[in-house]
Amino acid sequence: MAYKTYWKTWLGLLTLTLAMIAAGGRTLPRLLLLGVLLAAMLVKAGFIGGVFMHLRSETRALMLIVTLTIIGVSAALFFGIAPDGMRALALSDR
Amino acid sequence: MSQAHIVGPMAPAWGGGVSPFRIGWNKLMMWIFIIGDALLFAGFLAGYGFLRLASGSWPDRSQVFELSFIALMTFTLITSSATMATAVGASQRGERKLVLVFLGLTILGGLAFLAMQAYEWSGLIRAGASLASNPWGVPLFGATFFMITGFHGTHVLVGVLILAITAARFQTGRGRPEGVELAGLYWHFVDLVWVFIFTLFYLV
Repeated sequence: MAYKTYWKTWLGLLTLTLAMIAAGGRTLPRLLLLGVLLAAMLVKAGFIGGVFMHLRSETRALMLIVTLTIIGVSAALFFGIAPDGMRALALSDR
Repeated sequence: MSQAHIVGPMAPAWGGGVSPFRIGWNKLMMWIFIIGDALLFAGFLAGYGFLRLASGSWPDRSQVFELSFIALMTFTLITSSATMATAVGASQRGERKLVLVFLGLTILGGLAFLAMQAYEWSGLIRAGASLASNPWGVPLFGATFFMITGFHGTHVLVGVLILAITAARFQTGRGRPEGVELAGLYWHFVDLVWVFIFTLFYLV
C-alpha cells in the first residue's frame, strides 16, 4: 500500500474527529447527536481496520471472521446488557 | 487430518498443509489475540453503558474533561498510527532507515499519549476523583473511567515496549518485516479501541 494512502487516511481520521468534537459542542437533539457520533465512530474504526491494519487486503475469510465476530458479539453485548440499565433504573425508581 | 479424509469443495483449503487465510501462523495468532482483546473491551464498554443508564444521571462531561486536551491526546494517537503504518510499509519495501525513523516517531507518540493521560488522571485525582467517589456526584463514574482508560493506557504502555523491542531488533539486523507488521497490528488495535473510548466517554 502506498505511503500516501496512510496519510490520506490519517487526514480523514483527523477530519472525522474534529467533526465529532464540533457535533458534540452543538445543541442537537440527543438521539440525532448519538446517531451522528456512533456513525462517525464506526467509519473511523473501518478506516483503521481496513487501511492501517490492511484488513481489506486480507482474504475474505479472515476479514469476515474478524469483523463479524467483533461486531456481532459487541452488538449482542450492547443491545443485550446495556438496555437492562434502563430497566434497573425503572425498578429502583419504584 | 490428512487431505485424503476431507471431501467436497473445501478440501483444498481445509485439508491441511495449506493456509486458508493465506497468512503465517504468527499473524493469525495476533488476529485471534486482537479478537479476544476486542471482546474484552466490548464487555467493559457494555458494562459501562449498563451502569451509565442505570445511574439515571451522569456527570456533565464539560465540567469534568478539558475536551481540547483530549482532542490533542486523540490527535497524538491517530498520528502515531499513521507513522506506524508507514513503518510497516517501509519494512515491506526493505527501507531499513525509514523503518527505524517511523518506529521512533511511533514510540514518541505513545510516550506523549501516556504522559498526557498521566496529566489528565492527576488533574482528576487532585479534584477528588477516585475509584469509589468523585466530586461530580455519581460514584460509578470514577470506577468506570479509571478502570477502562487505565486498561487502555496499560495496552499503550505494553505497545511502546513492543515497539522498542522491535526497533532494537531492527537496529541490530535481527528484525524481520513480519515482526514490524505484528507490532503494527497491535498498535493500530490500541488506536482503534481509543476511537470507542473517546466517543463513549468524552463525547456522548
